[in-house]
Amino acid sequence: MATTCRPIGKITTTSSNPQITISNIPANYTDLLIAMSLRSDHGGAIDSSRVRFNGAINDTGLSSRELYGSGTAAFSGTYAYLYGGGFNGGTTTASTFSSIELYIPNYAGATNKSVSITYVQENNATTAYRGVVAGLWSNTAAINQITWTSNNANFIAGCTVTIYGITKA
Amino acid sequence: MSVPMAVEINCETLEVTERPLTPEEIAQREADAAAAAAAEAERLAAEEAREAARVSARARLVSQGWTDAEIDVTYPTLVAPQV
Repeated sequence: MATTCRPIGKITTTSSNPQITISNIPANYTDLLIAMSLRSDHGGAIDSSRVRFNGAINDTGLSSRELYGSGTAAFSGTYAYLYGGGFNGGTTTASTFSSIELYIPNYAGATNKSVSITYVQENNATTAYRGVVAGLWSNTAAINQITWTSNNANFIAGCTVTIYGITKA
Repeated sequence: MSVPMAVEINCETLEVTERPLTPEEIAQREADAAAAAAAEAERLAAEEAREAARVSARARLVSQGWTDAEIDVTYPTLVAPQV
């Protein structure tokens, strides 16, 4: 059987929301891929999000490490939560959005869950961030719900989140 | 002040719904925002310190007679960012 990538849900925000959730994710795929186009109404150049699973409202069992560049230099960060990537804040070039991808292999398996995230910010300026994140959810439950919460403000209208189910041969 | 709204898509029904955040979610969000603000200030300070060090190091090499081309080849991390 060939590897397939099937869209199983898409949301486009129509107003400002601090939180976006994908629920009732079916367990019959091998991996999950989530593609996002995000912008915030935060008063700075960059906002960021936290990712949580299965309805949790705190960061129990979550951790992540990040490598990122600003256009000037490279940096790293370690977080006691799952850093969902940076994305455009309100002071970046108008009408531009960041692109973010999350990949969750074996999301329905009975093992701890690893997450990889890449993000790139669109900004017509010297500073524009791009980075990679390695995340871990130390929990053996199957992932059936994913929630993104903006760290600083709201996801503006026009943000999109599309989730794909990956089936491997 | 209006209650922030969460938006959700159900992958089984593809129905999109909005609901107000619960008091627990609002409290957690406020704590997250405070932590994020502190982390952002720390990140910006680190970036500014690094840029200041880059400019200072480059100026020191120039004062010792290095050309811009020599600095760029030998110390690529000292290259000025392109706008």
